[in-house]
Amino acid sequence: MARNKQQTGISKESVKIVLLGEGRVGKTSLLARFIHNNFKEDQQATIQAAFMSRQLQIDSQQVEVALWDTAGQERFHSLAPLYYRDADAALLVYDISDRDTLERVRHWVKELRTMVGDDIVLTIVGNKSDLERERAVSQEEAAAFAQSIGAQHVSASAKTGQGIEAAVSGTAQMVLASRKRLGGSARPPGSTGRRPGSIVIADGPGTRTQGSSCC
Amino acid sequence: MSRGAGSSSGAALAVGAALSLGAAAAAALAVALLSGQKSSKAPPLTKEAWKEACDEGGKLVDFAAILEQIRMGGCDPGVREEVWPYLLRLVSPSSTAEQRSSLKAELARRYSDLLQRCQDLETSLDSAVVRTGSSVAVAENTGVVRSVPAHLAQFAEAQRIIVLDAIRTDLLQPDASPESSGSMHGAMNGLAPSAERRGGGPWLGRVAEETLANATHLSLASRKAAARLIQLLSAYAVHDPETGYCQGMSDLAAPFLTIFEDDAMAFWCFERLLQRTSKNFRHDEVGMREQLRALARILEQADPVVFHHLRQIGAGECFFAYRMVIVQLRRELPLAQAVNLWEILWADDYWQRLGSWAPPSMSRPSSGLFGSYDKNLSALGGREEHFAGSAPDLLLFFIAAVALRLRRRLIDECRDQDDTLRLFNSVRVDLWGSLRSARGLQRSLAAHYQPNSSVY
Repeated sequence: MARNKQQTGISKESVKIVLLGEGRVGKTSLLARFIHNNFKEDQQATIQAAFMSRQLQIDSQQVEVALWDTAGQERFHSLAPLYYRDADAALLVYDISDRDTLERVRHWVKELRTMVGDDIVLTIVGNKSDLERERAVSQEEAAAFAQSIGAQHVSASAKTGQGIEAAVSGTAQMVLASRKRLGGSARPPGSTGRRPGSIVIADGPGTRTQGSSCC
Repeated sequence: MSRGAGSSSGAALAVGAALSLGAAAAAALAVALLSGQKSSKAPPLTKEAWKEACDEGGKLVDFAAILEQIRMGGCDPGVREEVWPYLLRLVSPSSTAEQRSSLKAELARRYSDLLQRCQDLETSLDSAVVRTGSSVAVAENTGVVRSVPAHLAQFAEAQRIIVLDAIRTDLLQPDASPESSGSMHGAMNGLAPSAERRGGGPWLGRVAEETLANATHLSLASRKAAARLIQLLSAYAVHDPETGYCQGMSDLAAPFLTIFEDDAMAFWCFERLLQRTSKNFRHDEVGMREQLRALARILEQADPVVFHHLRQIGAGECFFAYRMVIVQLRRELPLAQAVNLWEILWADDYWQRLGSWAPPSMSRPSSGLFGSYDKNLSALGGREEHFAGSAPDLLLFFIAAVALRLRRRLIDECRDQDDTLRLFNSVRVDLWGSLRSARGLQRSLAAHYQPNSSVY
């Protein structure tokens, strides 16, 4: 969770980014490349979620980037709000060789806009750019889509390492910029949610509001 | 027994809970105390003991004693291939060797029928794609071919995910402990070479053929294992179209293929497991919510202090345990230990039911090899009965024990739900120690279990 940690009087920014996208588009692999600079052809499917973090230097400021990797398959959908509800930004990942995965990104955009609102920073990431030969989504189309929703578009490859640093640091930078615009850190330390009460998770017969700390 | 300061104060907290909250606290105390003990394991069921348990006709003489041993110590790797079909109730303990061999033939036939159905679906898909004017390549690229009938589109989509998941499933865990390596090698030697398959062997879809041919990063053995896994999962998706394929199933299925040389037996044992757990894979996630709520109730009753904390920080719904529940600790434990845990859970469930009521095969030994077996095979949706209001499975007590063994860290380090997810993502599970704690919880709580407590 992004919050300002007071350490010897110097505030250190932290940014929470969630990765969303259809199962198999390479979310975990992008993270593994970003954090460990490695790549596994046979990266296991993510069942729940994984968390990783890394320090970045942005405009001479140390920023801790906390990245949440989620399970992609639609059947794990109810888990997603746990991760995105208080995220500062989302990397919406699709596979350039698989057109359906861009459709899934469109769904994510809608859901995030409805559930979280407009101030979550979005970056669309076209992964597997090394598979140019099998490309099924044109660069122009994806970029135009990104532009239409006010997101940036980055072409990346977890395999070669292309584009990932740019995607993450660019996203973090936009989060910091929007924080500045809103007048410093919008979030008090220790807050548990972006807008408590704004996320509704279906739970059994009725629905229940998430965000308050005690039920 | 020696304990560090940490677990002493854990026990003190549990005692505090005991004083203030009465009945529930015995369990919390048990966990706090047991978690400080050195874990020990009971001896597993050996091949010799298994042989001795059968009479000349191959009937089991004292199945309850076998179950008792497995639920405490698990099985030796060499005996699993024979014992698992019993534990999963595919085979009745009262069956003879002769009956079992005819069952085996029948199961092989039905498995090959399912693969034939996959073949037929693929053929129909191809011709539908041609009819609608899209090329096969387009069909594969876009996955859901909207102009073809829904069941064919569903098949195409499932195929694509199954193949991609199968080649990245943990197929032959290199860190499998020496005790399990015997059966691993056995299974690998039993694989049919792909050349044999092409010469009229069982179906393996075109997507799979192509993907495996290009998966040069995998060893030949891994590719063969992946092919078997793809067949098994595809057959399951056709057998139970309502559930279909969901990520996580490959984790549950792969161990069956390392234990069984016979693909059909692996499939039908997996199918029996899914009869109990397919509700976890439902699209509406009702099954998972039910399980996580049951876990929350156990935690609430076992350790109100920890549970209160979890609720305070917004983690009372126990989402941190999602993965443990859905793939039954397969990701948290090494393969050899995960299969150990599974057989213990199955034996425990069977044993518990023996105590309270006789399963169908016991009461009707002459009605087929296992009472509900034929019904389940012939009628889709003939799921194992779910006993509403019955005590939860040992699996949930096990997960609760894992959580309660982390109670200090949950209380001290977890300030929000993210922290709990992070903690559980990196948790190291002590199989035997957690099992001891789980049994303690099960004993203390089963009698007082209130399925409708006030958690939600």
